[in-house]
Amino acid sequence: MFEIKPILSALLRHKSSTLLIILQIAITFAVVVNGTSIIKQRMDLMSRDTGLVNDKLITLNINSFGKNSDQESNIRADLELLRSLPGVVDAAPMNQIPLSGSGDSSGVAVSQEAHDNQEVTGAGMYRGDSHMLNTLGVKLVAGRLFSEDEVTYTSERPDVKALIITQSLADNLFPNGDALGKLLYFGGGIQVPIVGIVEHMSGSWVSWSSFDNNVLMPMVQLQNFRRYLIRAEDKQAANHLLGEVEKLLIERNRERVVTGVRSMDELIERAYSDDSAMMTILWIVVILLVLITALGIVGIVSFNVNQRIKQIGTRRALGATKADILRYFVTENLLITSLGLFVGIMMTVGFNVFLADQFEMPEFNWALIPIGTLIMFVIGIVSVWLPAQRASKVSPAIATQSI
Amino acid sequence: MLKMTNIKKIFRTDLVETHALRNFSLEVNEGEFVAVTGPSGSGKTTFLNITGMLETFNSGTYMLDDKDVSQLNDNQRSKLRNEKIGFIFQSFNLIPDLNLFDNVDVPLRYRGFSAKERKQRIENALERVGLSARMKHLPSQLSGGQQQRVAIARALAGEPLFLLADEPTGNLDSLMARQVMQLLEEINQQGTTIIMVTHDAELARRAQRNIHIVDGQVSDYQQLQPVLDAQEESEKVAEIAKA
Amino acid sequence: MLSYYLKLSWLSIKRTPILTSLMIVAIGLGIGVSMTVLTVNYMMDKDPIPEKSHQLYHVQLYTYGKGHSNSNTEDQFPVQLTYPDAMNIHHSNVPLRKTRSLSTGFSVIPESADSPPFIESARAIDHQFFDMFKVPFLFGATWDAEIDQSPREVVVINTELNDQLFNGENSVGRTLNLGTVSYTIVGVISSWQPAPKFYDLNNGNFNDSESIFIPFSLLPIHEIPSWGNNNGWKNENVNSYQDKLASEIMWNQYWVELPNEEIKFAYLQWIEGYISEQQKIGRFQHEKAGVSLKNVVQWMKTNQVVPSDNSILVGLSFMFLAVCMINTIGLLLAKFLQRAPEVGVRRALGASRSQIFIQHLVDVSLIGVLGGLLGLALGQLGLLGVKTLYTSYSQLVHMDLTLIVLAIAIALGASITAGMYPAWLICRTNPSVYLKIQ
Ligand SMILES: Nc1ncnc2c1ncn2[C@@H]1O[C@H](COP(=O)(O)OP(=O)(O)O)[C@@H](O)[C@H]1O
Ligand SMILES: [Mg+2]
Repeated sequence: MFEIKPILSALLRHKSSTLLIILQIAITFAVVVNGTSIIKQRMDLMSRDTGLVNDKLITLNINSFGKNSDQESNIRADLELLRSLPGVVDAAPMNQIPLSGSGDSSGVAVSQEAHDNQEVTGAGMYRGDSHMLNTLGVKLVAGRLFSEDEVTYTSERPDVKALIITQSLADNLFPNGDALGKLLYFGGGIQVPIVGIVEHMSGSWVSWSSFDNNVLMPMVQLQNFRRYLIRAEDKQAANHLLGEVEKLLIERNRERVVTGVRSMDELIERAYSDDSAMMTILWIVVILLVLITALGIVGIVSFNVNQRIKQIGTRRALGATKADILRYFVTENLLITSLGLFVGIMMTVGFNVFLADQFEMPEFNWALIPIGTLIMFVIGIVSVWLPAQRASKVSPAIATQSI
Repeated sequence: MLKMTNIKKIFRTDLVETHALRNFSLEVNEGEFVAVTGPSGSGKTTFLNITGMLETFNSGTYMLDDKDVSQLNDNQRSKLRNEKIGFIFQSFNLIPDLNLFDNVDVPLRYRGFSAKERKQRIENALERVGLSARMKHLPSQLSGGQQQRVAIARALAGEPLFLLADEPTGNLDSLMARQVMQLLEEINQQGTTIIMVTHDAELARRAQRNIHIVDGQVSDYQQLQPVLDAQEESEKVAEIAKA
Repeated sequence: MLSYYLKLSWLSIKRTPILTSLMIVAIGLGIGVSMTVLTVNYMMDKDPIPEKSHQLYHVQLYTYGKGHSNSNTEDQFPVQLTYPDAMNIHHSNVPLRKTRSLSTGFSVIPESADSPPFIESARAIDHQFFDMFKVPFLFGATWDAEIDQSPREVVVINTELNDQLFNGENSVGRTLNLGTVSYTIVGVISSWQPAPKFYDLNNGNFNDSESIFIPFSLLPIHEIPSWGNNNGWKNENVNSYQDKLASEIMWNQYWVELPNEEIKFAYLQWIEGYISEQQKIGRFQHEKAGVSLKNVVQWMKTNQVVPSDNSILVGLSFMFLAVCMINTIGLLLAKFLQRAPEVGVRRALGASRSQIFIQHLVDVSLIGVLGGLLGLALGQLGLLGVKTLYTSYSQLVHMDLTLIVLAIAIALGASITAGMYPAWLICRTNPSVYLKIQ
């Protein structure tokens, strides 16, 4: 590091280009760190556990248009058919499917009074028959499942006798952990006992704050439009069903249209398509930016080397070793990178405070600053290496040549 | 035509002040061939740069063609330089990407001549230095002496009042140096004033007038008869060429 | 002289191919990335119906009871109306045009037995809908005004559905089976895909337009289901479709055309009169009870048509462009400085400062144009990428002439700005310094 002084004076002589590189490194750092921070947040969002047997599930919609015969027996016949198919573990009629982006929600409260005072917690309302929990693959951690005779088939406002809720909702409403057996209030005098708690189950809207708060009800709505969820033995069986199930259902009853035959994996992909698109774009921006900055450093250092060829030759002639020359350029670069990163860290902090202010972003991941710093140093050294290597190969003989 | 009185030029850096010219006075008349000699660092190049208006000066007056140079702005100086002055440098300073034609073209472009006129002048100028056959060559394809002749053609193409040459033979071997000197003499005989800085005492003696600069001042100037007349000179060139 | 400068620029590009390509790539990437992001943003934000966007108003009524509100909108107004309100305010004759609107859908059952039934999205509206939103007709026309009062089974379909069912022939007068009900086709509209889908921003801002349009007046008769949002706040026993029609559930939309401020004012007064009437029968009990009219532009803003992710990307892409520019300035500085001796010669041969300055600006402009062209190509590539990433934006994502010109202008402007400082530096330097014997 004994060379710092001459390097500093050389840098001071080329103030503008030094400043430019510092600024470039700083902005690159700020963008890279904030960009990866957003990427990380989206990644965390997307990798949330759904609580379901994702890869074994497929779902579909039925729109019946026939002069309606008995809807209930129609549904029962459909499910009997589905459950009897080879490779199918279970199937259930449902009013909404987790992660599908559509469905019902309602505000629930711990007492009538609380409900009247708007002290409600939003929750997704999942209605289905007694096979619903098994089909979803959610894990019951307390209480019991719905019994067959608790299930009502109706087109009117149902008389629900039992509820199963997610642990998250239970913790929300009953922080003391005594949710089981308590009543849940829906307003209008409707109150239903909680008979079971499931460990975890994702809701329908991935960006909703009550994503994890869900209520399951033993009830099948008789409507022209309904959804079925099917659990297969494995992914392979699920894939096979995807191609077959529409035909089988239509064959059983032609007065309807089957749409939206999708695997749960596809639903998840669709639910997060904006997030994953954002991630892809950010990755591209971050990588391109790093590339540009690296190329910029290569360009500038190459130019400096070219400009100083004679000087380098002279130094070599005067006894500098190859390593000395290499060290000179690398040290110079490290110095500039450090300055750039210092400014960059300031900018990152400022930028992030601004972003968080404007877009209600989740907490910034401060660990990214040291990681980003390290990465930028590596990039700096890699980009300076090539031209510096070339500089170290300058022959001392050049000193005596005229240009 | 050119008159400097009490020109002072001081270079200031953080550490030192260099008095490159002190009370420098000189008059050059039309048609003269002036050789400037002096030790290294004495201010010869500075003098030439000020003459060519490439450099400003701190005090004194410099009249060029009855115009007070210190009153001119950069644009006017550029124009004057373009029209009245031709530069020849020790290291030729041809533009490496441009072929000979385009190199000679450079001052004419800034002059604003028509394409036809430029072509005519370029061909004439290259003809004069005997390189019209190599118009499309790049400078790197020529010898040093040929490059300097192109530089002279470039300086002449705009038909300047005078040529400023800063050690035009400094980078040439003696044969080439002589050829270039001969060319300059021909040009001078056709009426162009020449001011030439040189280290070569023999070449200097061939000029009509010698100025010796020491420490930023004219220490001595003398009017000389050409040591050799043009006839003798060409013989000598031929001799060296044979050897 | 310009051609001379261009020639010199070309020579200098040839002399420093690597440095020049680095700059072109830097500018190209900067432009490409920011153009991609800006195009998406611009297209999302673009006024979809500029001639009328300030005359078409979406009507919102604050029908909540005491203690209720909508936390999803800034002014807490619910985005949709109840059926009774949609019916009642339809009596006003103040607006030039007006339409009720509901997103719905049907199973379409083709005449021929071998083609299977399929699902199509549809919209229940009034006859002025097409005029209001400037929907062009290919065959026929909208239904008669009286049908909005005394409903009949008529339908307008779009050209795509007409192609599918009737091979593109004039199908006016023919029958369309929606579920179990037969409708008579009265009109076929040409392709019409406003993006964003401004007339319904509650069911996917960039979804496709519907292919079937039926009279809103058919709602109670055929119990037309809602395919959109249904929001309730009141505890009501809603056991049937008729219950829903009478309920406080908000599931209908309403648009009016108010050609000037006077009419708008008159309409506001009319609605306020309606609200106070309703208050007498116990509705609109919230202290904020009132009306909000938002024109197309305001409605797009309220519904955040441009997602906040986009704003982040716009910010990042400008920082990206900034880095590319700074990078270019650095490289230009290097390139020009390398050329300093040549500039010295030119100055000695009579070039003025401004001539040197202009020469270098021409130089950077050439690089800027090349970078801009590369940027356009990369932008197209980027948009192709955006299309695959966001399938719903596909029809949104294309560069129009404005954007292409803008891209080149930004590239040129940015590179000239970037070149300004190096060019100034080089034209200021004392030529004699570079003429020295090395
Ligand atoms: N740009 C400059 N900055 C500082 N000092 C200079 C500069 N140019 C020339 N000098 C000084 O001025 C003096 C005269 O220089 P110059 O005219 O080049 O001498 P010569 O051409 O006679 O060798 C020298 O001492 C030199 O160091
Ligand atoms: Mg000198």
